[in-house]
Amino acid sequence: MFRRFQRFTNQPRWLPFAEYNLWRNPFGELTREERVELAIISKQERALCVLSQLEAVQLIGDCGNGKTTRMLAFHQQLPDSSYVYLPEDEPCPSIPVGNPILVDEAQRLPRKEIKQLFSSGMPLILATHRDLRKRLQRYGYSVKTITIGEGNTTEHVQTVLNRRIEASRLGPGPIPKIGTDEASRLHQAHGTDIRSIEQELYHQFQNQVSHHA
Amino acid sequence: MPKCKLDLTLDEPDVVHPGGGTISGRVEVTVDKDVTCKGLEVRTHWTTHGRGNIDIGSEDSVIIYQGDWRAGHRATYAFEVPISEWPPTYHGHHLNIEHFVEARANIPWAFDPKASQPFQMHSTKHQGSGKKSSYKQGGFNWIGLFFAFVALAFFFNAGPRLLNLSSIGVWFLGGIGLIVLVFWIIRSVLPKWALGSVSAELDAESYCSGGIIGGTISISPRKSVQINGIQMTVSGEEKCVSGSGSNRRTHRHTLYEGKEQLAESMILNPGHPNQFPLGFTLPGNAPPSIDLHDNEIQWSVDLRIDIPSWPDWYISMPIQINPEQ
Repeated sequence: MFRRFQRFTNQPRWLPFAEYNLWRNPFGELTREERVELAIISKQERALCVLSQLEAVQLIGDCGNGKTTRMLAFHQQLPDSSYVYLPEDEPCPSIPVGNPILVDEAQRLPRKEIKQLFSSGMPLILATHRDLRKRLQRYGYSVKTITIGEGNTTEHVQTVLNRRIEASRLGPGPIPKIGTDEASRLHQAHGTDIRSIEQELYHQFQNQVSHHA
Repeated sequence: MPKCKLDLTLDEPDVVHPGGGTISGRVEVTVDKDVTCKGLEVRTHWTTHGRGNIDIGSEDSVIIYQGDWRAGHRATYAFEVPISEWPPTYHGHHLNIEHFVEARANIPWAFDPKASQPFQMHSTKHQGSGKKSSYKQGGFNWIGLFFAFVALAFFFNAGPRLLNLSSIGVWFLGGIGLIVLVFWIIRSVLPKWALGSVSAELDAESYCSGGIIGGTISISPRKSVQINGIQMTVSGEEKCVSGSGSNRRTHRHTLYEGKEQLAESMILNPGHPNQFPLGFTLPGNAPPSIDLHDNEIQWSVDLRIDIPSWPDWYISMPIQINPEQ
């Protein structure tokens, strides 16, 4: 249960989440910019992504573990980089030139594009559901693999969720927090799938607000 | 450390402002270091929040000050900025729409300080025309059914040769075709066969919340047919899309559902059209229809004719709900 707070005098009474000192449900969808801003990237991950020619990093993990969020954050932090998302059941978009080139959902790269991209020797960061190490090595790449989700510990889950609540703050004063026990329960129930945790919390929070309204 | 801090106060924070109008207030600037402000901009913008991807929009900004601020300086600037005409403020389950006034000071070589305040907006913008919308379903389509069977028979007979498929492939694809055909017959053909020609007409394609949906449903059966009743259902739902590509998901939430029995159990006779008037009063707080790319509020009128021991006849007609004037 999320704790309600006394309203500050200047907070609008008609806002449904104002009693929690929030302007929105913190577990809803975010803009691309907000996702980048709230991404938590370790120093090791950051260091691994400094690449030169014929070097590649692949981020492997299941849906909802934070691959796209990390890719967007890397793209923002590396000014010369380019980013492309490969949609499902649609023609492959042209791969933009960058240093490095970030390809999201890289397991969807068609044969022709793989040949063209991998033979370019450009530094690559690939988010993928399938291990592309052997294919990259065939083109002379040295490959580092980051398994996304392994670092999604209870503590990480708690930090991610509390940052999302903070990003929805309405004004000064206390806001609800996810405690260690709640983070541990969510981690046990959903594993490393942060998207699924956010969906549960969205409904929990929404129902609580509707109930009090 | 920020060189300056902005505080934004609205003149009427609890008033519901009309869409397309203006909103006024003041920005208080507190400066603790000498700075040059290239523009103190104020504008209104709206954003969705909730389960769907974020849709946003904004009005043109107004520059209310340009120049130097000295350390220790404290100044207040009044503003009056335009408000978008659409969409109105809305708080639902999957979808919320919020309007803000935002002030931002453009300071060179520093993070731009900003402040914002939410406000409520009520739109009076009307969409859709007032003309009638008609939906007609003709009688039993013997020709369509005949061609469907011919096409299926041809596929089973000549499919392996023409499409270079194995017989298992032909049976698999043919089986899917057969299931679709059976579904179509149950859903569409059988009710028409029993009822003959059915036409439904709404007296308008757009209504206001609290208004009355009128119209008629007309049934011209080829022979006497027993029905259990005719039901009219008016429903509104939030439809929000999140993610993209393989992560794309659609979230639906029913906002309102009201039913009206238009006719009880009776026998419909051939020879002349059996007409039944439609009548339904929309709730006064019905939220308007909204279409913001990934976030929508949709309204529809569904008509169902319950035929005993037979598939029901059914039609769904989208309608537009406009905000109250």
